[in-house]
Amino acid sequence: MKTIRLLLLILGLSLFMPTELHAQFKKITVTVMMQNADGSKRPLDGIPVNGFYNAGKAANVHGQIKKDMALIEKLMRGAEVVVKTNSEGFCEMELTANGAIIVVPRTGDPILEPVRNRLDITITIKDDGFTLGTTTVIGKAKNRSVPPPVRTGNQKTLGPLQYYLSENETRNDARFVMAPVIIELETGDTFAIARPFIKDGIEYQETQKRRMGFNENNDPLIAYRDEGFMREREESSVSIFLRLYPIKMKRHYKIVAKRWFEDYNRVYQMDSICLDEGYDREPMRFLEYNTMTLPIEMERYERIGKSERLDDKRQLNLNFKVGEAVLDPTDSLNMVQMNQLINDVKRYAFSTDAGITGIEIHGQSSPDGGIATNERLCLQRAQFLRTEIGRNFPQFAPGLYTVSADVASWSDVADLLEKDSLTAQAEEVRDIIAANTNTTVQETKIRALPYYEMIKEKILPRLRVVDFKFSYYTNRVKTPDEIYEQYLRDPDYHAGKKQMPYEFYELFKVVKDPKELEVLAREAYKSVRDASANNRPWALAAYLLAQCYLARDTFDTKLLEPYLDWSLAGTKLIEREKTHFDGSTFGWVNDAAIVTTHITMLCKAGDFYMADSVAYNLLANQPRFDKMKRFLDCLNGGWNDPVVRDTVANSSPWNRVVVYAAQDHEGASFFHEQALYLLSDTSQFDPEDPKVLYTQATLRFQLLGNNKNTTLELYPAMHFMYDDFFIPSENDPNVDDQGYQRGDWGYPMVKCCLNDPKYLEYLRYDGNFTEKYRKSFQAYWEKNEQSLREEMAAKRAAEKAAAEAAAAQADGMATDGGGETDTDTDNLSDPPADEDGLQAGR
Amino acid sequence: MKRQSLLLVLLMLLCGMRMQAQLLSVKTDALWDVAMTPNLGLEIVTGEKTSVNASVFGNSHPWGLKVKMLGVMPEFRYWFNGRPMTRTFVGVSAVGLSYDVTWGHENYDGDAYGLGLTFGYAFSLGLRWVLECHAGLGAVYYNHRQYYTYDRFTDRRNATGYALLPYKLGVTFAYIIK
Repeated sequence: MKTIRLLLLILGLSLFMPTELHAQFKKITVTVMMQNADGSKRPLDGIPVNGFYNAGKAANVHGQIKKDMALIEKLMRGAEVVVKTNSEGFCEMELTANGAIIVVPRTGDPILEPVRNRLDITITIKDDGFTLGTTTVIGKAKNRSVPPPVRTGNQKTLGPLQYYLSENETRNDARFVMAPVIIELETGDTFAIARPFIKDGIEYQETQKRRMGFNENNDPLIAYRDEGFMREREESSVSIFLRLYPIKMKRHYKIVAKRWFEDYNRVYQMDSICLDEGYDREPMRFLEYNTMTLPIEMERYERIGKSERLDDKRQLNLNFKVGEAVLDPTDSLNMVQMNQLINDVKRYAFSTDAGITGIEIHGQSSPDGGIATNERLCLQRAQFLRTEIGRNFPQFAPGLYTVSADVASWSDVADLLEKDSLTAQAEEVRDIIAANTNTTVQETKIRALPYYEMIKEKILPRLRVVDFKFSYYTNRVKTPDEIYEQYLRDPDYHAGKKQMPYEFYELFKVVKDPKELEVLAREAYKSVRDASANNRPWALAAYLLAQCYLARDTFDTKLLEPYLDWSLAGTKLIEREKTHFDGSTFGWVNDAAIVTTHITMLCKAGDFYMADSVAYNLLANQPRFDKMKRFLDCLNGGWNDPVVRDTVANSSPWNRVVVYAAQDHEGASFFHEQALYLLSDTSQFDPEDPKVLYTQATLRFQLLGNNKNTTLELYPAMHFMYDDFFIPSENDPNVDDQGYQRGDWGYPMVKCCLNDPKYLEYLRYDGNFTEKYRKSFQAYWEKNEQSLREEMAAKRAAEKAAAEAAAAQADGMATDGGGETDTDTDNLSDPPADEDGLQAGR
Repeated sequence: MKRQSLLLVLLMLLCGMRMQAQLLSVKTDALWDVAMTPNLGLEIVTGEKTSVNASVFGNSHPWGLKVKMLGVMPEFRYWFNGRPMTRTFVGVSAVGLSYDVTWGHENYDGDAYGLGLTFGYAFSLGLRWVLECHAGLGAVYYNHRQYYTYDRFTDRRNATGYALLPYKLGVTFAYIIK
């Protein structure tokens, strides 16, 4: 019994005693010595000796420290005992027999020493390094940070900025070259190769000039050379300005560059840099604007019906089968041309008030393949066209037709080469013609030319044409009522297939439905030409067609170009009715209605650069255009100009915020603060509007969050969470009464993306934010999106329920239906129009 | 990527393209001018790193000395750094000289021919001005009459031989004409 009790006692004690007692503590003396280069030793004082009760734990810590010395401080906190050596170089500590110590010398690797039942441990550190005294380290970045490029519509600009060259690289006798390449991010393809940037050493430019015969223009790279020269071992810089225009609207581009230094013999340094990762600032992304819509003066383009005889001449590029007088069935343009021709002839052929008086068909072939063969062939081809016309219009008498043909000469080939700016080739062909009168010999020699394949593909087809001219008359003018009545009754007439120009003109006055108007305008555009104005399509038809496109939110930026005359830019009378030298009328050019419509098309296409240029050059200096010009200037990058800024800012509260946020000159932070302050006014801006939130997030980050001194890899999540404890001061909603800035500057972005996920795409390429912000937001978003959405849904459901309850209560309380309701005057989607027709709204 | 590489090669070729102008300079050695030995040289660049230099010199009783000589010195130069008339060069030169020198009581009247190496450095003083410092060492063959001044002596040449000597030393100013 006693034995059992004793055993139980021992068992109980062993269960409840601390396990460390199993390992017996011992007083250990640790001496740390430094062995000098000559073999002598000296004690090291003040060295911390870290004691671990468990050798395995110590080994683990030792391994981690060796991998990353930065963890020393953190990991040494795990040591059970830490004692520093005294002036004699030793210290005492109580450790277990199976413990270990780690000593971290001032230089060299940490030393692990297991105790292994010893009472006296000496650690010798070999002196293979020395401690520097106070050292001044100068860190110099070779290149200053490149500000993010700016994107305005289909234009992107990088710079102007100074790219610094380190003094370690610059030499008198060297040339620096930077060759940028533009890469499309979405596809990885090379979009463009930009101009190089070059800087020469002072001696290099001297010797280069000598090599070029003292004429720098002989150097093909002189146009790209920076002003100023590099000097030996002196810091220098190169001015960089890149404008990418036009670029695709929904694509993003990064700019990489190869850069190298070369002396007279070799490239002595070469590397690649990334000038731009593809993150652009787009300050005008949310600007609200409308361009002007001016009504056209139809009288300028009036077509009057009258009895008259006229000619219509056109050139057809019909593609025939090789060696045959049959159209190539694979070429769809053949049928398009033929159908258009037949339709146009029909207008007069089948009209009771008009008729065809004559048709001239002239065929031409290219000179290759023999004259006799070609003469026969081109005549056959002209006859083919005559047969086709005859088949469609059997009522035409045979005597109505005149058919002729000829073969183009090799001189015509030379003329076309010259027209294509291939002057050297044109001269060579002319020399062959001059030297050989025989056409067969001419052809043989021309075929032997190295670029004959190009002539065959690009020049000769242009000589295989058929000229078609028909003369017609009109003998009675319909009244407007008759015209409209026929329009309603006749399907072909309704489709615009039968009208003469004056009939189109009358219909344009009465048809208002956009779809019907577009059909008529398109037909009129295709069929009615201004013979006096280089046969350009009828301007009125073009204008109306453009208006119809805009009405259905589409655009064609080429449509109205023939009606603009850039040679009149800068003159007093930009908008005018031009005349030929003989006094005959050419027609109206730079009509304000057409110019403003063209500007609207360009803005829709995102081509603010061209829109700004058109407005500046082709609109008269009239006050009614000033506001639009300021807006276009702003859209094209001129937002820093005070006049432009004030004009845009005064147009609407939202535009004030946008243009203030866009400022990027020195002192811009004042405007950013103003913009952020304005955004806090909930009477002006809907706090749930994603674009308001996005702008708030941008400004808050720029002003409050973009702290360049932090060493954290990611911003803490707290910056993206609403700070319940922040109480804004009266004067500034971003600062509290103690002057502390709010820390939740990332929260508006979270709200914005919850409300509209498309803003995630904006953030992805937005140069206003750093890579660190993007990564931090991404990390927070991935982790919390689900829960945030659930929270938002619950909140909205609760708000809805509360609103319904309040409404039900109000219904119950209301007796005569009175009570004021708030008017929605601040809805950003319907901003007020100002008197210039320029609305501050999309 | 291939396009980019091709462009880079093209760009680099353009940077190092063959010169389009053949440089020609006239020059005079200042040290020889100080020694009252008028000299005139011409240098023409023949390649990316080479040039040919030729100079003629002569004197008659410079500084009152009884010395008369007339010589020509062609030289082929190789420019290390890649641009002729700039920085370091090495040359292979020759000399042909006819002389009549009275030194002390002895007279030396004959010809000498030599071949040697020249080393030099050219400083650019501007777009068209160059300052060259050079020195040359060569083997010279001489063949002359050597006699005492008061002797009557026949025309027979009685002294020939070779000597290894520094036969070129100069500070030359050159002007690049074209």
